[in-house]
Amino acid sequence: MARRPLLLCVLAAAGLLFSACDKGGIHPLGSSKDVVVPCVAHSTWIRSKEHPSLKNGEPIIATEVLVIGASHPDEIEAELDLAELAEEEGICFYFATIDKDSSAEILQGRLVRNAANQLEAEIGVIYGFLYQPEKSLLSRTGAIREELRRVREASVDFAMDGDQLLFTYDGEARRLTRIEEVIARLDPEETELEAPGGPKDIYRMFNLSLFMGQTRVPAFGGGGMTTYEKAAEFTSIIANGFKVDVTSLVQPDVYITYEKTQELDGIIVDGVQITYANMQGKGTMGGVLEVEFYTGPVDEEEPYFTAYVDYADVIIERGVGGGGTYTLTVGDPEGDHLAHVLDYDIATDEDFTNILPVEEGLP
Amino acid sequence: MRPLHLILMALILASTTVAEAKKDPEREREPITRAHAVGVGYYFHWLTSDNTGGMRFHGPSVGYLYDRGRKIRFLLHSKVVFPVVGRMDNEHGKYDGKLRSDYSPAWGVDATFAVGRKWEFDDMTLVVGGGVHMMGMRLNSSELYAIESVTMGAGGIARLRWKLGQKDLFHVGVDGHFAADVFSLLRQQNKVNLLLTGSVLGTIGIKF
Repeated sequence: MARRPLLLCVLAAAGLLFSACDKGGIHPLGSSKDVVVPCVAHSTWIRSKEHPSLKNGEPIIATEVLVIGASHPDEIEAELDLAELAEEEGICFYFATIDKDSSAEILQGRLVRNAANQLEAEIGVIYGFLYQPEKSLLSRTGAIREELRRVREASVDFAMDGDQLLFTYDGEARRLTRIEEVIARLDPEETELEAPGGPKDIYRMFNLSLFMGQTRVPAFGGGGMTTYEKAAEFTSIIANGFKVDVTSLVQPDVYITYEKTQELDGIIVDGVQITYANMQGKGTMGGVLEVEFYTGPVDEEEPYFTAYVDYADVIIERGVGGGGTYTLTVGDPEGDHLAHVLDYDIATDEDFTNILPVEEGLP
Repeated sequence: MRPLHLILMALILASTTVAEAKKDPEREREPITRAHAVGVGYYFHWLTSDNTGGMRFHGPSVGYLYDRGRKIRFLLHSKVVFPVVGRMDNEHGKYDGKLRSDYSPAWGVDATFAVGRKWEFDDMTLVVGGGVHMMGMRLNSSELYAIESVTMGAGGIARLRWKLGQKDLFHVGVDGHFAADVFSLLRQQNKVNLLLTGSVLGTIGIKF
């Protein structure tokens, strides 16, 4: 009888170990966790959109993000010529859709000229993340990367209309606004949380950058995070990168270290975000992230403003924010600053329609 | 007393009476024996999935083996495996590296629960059986995608042992094992479709 508790412990440990696996499944030997190719030249464009389907009777709001390997769409041809000279295949192309609830899909590929000398996007990798708070942490899918066996070719077209980009992808047109222009609509002096450009929109803009990175971390948000018991480094789309580190299998505290990370133009994130959660996904958070917002090229201008997100008061339930608050400090914490307390559910309220109406993105 | 109880008692009484009547020293059942052994050896496994095609692994293994019974025996073959070589070369990719340098930790567990029959020839005993097989594997790396699988299927064991000394207490042996798994027990998007594994272990053990 004395053996039974030991046997149960061994079986429970084995069950835990194997249920906390990467739900993406088996990958070819030697496949890298990180396959991002950073953009040399770059520009970022976004719009708000409504999904055609409804959720709870309401349209689903999402944000489309386009990062292309040229500082301006007019320079795409020149960048392609440079890439050809350097014997590189095309220039970078990332096209993402981030839903209001933080579910996300990122298409990663290259912009190339096809045989008819027309622009084409060749998509080779699709990242997906589903927000699944209703599922237990260990049965959640987490972020998944699908590497397409054959690249998916899609026709693309870029045309400027004033300051906006008329972008057509696979026959569907949309109007995108340069991200620096949307950042300029943020108001660092606004104290009303819900005001257009106010603290909530500042947090959402910061979070947009985090979502672009986290969606590319295999198993992010699921039980498979235990694979980061071996810390892994990820390259960012534009500059630098971030590191994901899980302390142990039995106490899986997650440390995500950002080092001047730039996933999108105009937003640089630095610092450590910590999630202290057990295998049931219960716990708290910690750490402070510093975010610099720019309204122009980051290497030529001073930041428009700097903000700090403090996670110390966030409560984690079932592996996602389930209570507590984020403290957003805008300005210099040692000098002039404004501190705002935002409810935990702001993390799943990624809706820019306050400052970037859906109508602005219609073709 | 209820009729069912009466019938059961009658059956038990009848069976013991028949057993007594047939009691013959030459046909007496041998006692139940237990054999424990540990061993080291080498293993291989090959798996395939939609996402990877075939991938093969091999490396050393350390096992614990057990069997219990008379002629018909329950068998356990369990081991921890340490894949040191992994190879693939197909449309999904090519890999010919050293697992121990690219992946750490890299290990797996493997167990077969089987029922078999024993044959004895002088100092040698052969037990052959078949049953349920399970295997779990975990290869992790900071740079490369983790490879994790838990599979289930059918396995066979052939166990050969020679007694050491006059008393049939200690023995050395060889344990061969082969299994085919067709069920992936993990809820994964890209599951293992088929896993084949085999191993040979040199063993030393005790029987009582």
